[in-house]
Amino acid sequence: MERSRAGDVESFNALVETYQGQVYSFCLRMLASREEAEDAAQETFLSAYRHLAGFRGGSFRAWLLRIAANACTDELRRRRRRPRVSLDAPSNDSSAALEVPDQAESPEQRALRTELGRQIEAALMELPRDQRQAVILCDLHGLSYEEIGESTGSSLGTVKSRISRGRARLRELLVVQRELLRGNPRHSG
Amino acid sequence: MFQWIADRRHRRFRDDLSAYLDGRLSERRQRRLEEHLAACPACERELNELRSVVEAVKSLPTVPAPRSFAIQPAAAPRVAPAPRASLAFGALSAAALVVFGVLLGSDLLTRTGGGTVERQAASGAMAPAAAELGEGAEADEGGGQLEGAVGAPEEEAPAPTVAAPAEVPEPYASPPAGQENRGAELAPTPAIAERAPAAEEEGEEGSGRTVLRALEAGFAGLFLAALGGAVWIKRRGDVR
Repeated sequence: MERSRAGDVESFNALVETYQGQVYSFCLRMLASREEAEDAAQETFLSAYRHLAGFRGGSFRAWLLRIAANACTDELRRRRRRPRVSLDAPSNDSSAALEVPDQAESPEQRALRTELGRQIEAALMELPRDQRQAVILCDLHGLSYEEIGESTGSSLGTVKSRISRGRARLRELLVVQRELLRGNPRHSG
Repeated sequence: MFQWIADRRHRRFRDDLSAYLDGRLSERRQRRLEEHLAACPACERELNELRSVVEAVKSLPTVPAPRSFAIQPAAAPRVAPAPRASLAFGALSAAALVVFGVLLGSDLLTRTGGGTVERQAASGAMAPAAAELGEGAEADEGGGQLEGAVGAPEEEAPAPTVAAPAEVPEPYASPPAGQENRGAELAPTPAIAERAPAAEEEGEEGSGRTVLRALEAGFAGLFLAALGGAVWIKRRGDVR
């Protein structure tokens, strides 16, 4: 980290290697477009490199995701200026874009996981952007309420409320697939 | 009515379910929710469904990056050396602020000191008002009054130098002083009329005051310019 701060590109690229999956995943789930997610992820790392001196300790991952959240907001703003797809309605290929092949599982397992994953991803895309961002940062990336507040420039109460409303909406959307949720031992609580 | 109250209570408990899953409820609210859950199967079912949803979202995989986002050394953006430059401006700004504080302190102390000796404290505070209004010959009546009251203004000069360190640790020493002056500008003018005769006593002391005031203005300007430079450089560094 210290060498990266001094401008050592190789050291910084080791950090990129570690976190690029998480940053790209976050951008993809926020933007639902591979191309835009790639642009946002690249912008995130360039911006992080430029402003590494401004990193004041704490969780580097949370700091990166905060930059990624800003990059996604910028990307969505640009998209609004040249409307191509609706912000909250996912594009047709968004679920397919989020599919991850896993060689270790059986075709049956994969079908179930893919189906369930697709439904959850689609439900996430139904959420308003601020709720989606809060739920993704909390449940997928494990950020604390405080870190999410810092990432999004929101108060603790707002974060709590967004997560609560987002999850409640997800539950409404997914309750139709309740049997699916309960049928998969991976997801039973 | 009772139903309405029950519904409201019920809704509040439902709103708490998400924070409860994250362990973010206060001890008291958690205890009350748990009591409610024990008696309300609908809320308990909702809690379990919510927990399943959270688990399902948590189980979503990290999507591998389609390509490396590593930065090419040749194309690496320059890491802005801005902090150092803005630090220099900041130091310059702080130095100017200290000198400004010393000058202003000496000016105010000598003037208000004379005012309190001779008249009420309130009218002493009015002294800067006349000065700041730029009333020509009246601009220096504070010094004249001091001369009349104390008789030896030069001897007062070392005192502010001792008082000055009190201004140094206070990072916003100048705004309150500025506010005081601004406030004084808006103050009613009777003090000017009251002090007009004192201006006649003004001797060569006036030119010393003018120089002091010019220095004050100069260092205040330097402080603002250096502060502006520091802010501008920092902002440019952030944008790049």
